[in-house]
Amino acid sequence: MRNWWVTSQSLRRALSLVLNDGRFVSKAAVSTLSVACLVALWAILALVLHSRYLPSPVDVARAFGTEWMSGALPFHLAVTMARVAAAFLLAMVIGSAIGIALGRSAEADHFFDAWLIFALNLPALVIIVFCYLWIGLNETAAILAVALNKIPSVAVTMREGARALDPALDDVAQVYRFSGWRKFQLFIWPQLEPYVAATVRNGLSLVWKIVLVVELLGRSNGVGFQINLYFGLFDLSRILAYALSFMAVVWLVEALLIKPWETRARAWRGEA
Amino acid sequence: MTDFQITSKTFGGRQILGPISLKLIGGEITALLGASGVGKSTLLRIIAGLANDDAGTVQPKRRLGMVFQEPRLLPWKTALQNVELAGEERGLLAALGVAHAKHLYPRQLSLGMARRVSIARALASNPQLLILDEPFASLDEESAAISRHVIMNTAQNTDITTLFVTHDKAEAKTLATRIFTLLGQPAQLLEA
Repeated sequence: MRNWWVTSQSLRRALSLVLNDGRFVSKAAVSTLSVACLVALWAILALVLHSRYLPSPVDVARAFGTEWMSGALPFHLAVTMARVAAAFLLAMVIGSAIGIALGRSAEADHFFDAWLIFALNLPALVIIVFCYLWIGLNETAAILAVALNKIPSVAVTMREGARALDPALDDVAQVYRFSGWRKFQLFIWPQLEPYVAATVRNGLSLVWKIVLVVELLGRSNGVGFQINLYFGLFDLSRILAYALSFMAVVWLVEALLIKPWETRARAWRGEA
Repeated sequence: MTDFQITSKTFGGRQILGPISLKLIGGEITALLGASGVGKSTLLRIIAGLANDDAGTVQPKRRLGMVFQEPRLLPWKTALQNVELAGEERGLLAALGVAHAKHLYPRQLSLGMARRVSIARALASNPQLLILDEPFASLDEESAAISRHVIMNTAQNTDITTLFVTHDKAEAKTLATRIFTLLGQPAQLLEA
């Protein structure tokens, strides 16, 4: 009994060192360990269940290799990325402009608030179907459908950002004669930046999920199209290979672009 | 000389300021005394062009330097960058005793230090009209004395027109050539 207690205490101490103590393991190492645990759990489950409905990590890796070597995966990944980028950019520009305008004008906000609530609650699928019916099964309709789904949430976040602008700093800008672009750059943008960062972070994850639905419903290429194709063939390994590849790309964009930018933008708050 | 003519100023149906005529002379420091809430800051905002009087009169445009009641520094810029926003620093932070804090962000400064940085920013703009709204509040004796000295020196050595608000009559007498009091409701300007 005593031996068991000593062993359990030692294990707890070791785990605490591994998970909490920065002197031994960095945050990145803990994240890697966490992912490795998840993959191990998946592998064990696949092994135990031994079902065609849950391919093992090795099966998925094999499917990934085949698709990559054939050139299909890089091509469809690039097509989807391009759609995500275009729709995301469009939604950010239009949504930000609407949000800032509503945040700066109480009258406009009061008038358009109901429109915004309506747009926020309109199902993504309805917007996609209407875009395809009105514009046709083409690239413009696909990108517009995704952007239209994202614009309301961008507008809402940016409206909050515009409402939170400090009027006391407007006075400073006026006293020292800053106007137009210089005023935006020096006084307004730094106040909006945290809201933009939040929108970008949430937006990217939402946009790529909608892009897959748009591709599934009306395009002949892209990750969504491929997932639909392999759904028909009951090939779950390939479905997971495509989904995980795209998740990895989104994660890389977040880790290499968004996170460093957010850290830099928040440096003055002491949150970096 | 700059002549400011203000018709009146009303907020929410209540007239705060009556007709006011104020002549400010280049190189002179003018003090404005008055009880809390009498409308001193409102008058300063109208003179600075940050607010209009009831008639919408456009006040004479001058190159401005202004110290607000709160420091109003840009939180994402260091002390030095805040000063350089208005103009060249020219050793102003050192003169005001905050050179050691020039690379710190406003959140890292005490209120007194932030206030001195905002005085440096106002002076860096090479103003024709310097407006100071209770500039020495929240400063300790020594810092207030240093800041007074810097402002008086700048005003004497240049042609800056300075208008400052204070509650402290002794301070007004030390610094100012002319002293005005804002009194009554709606407030009127009386020269002491």
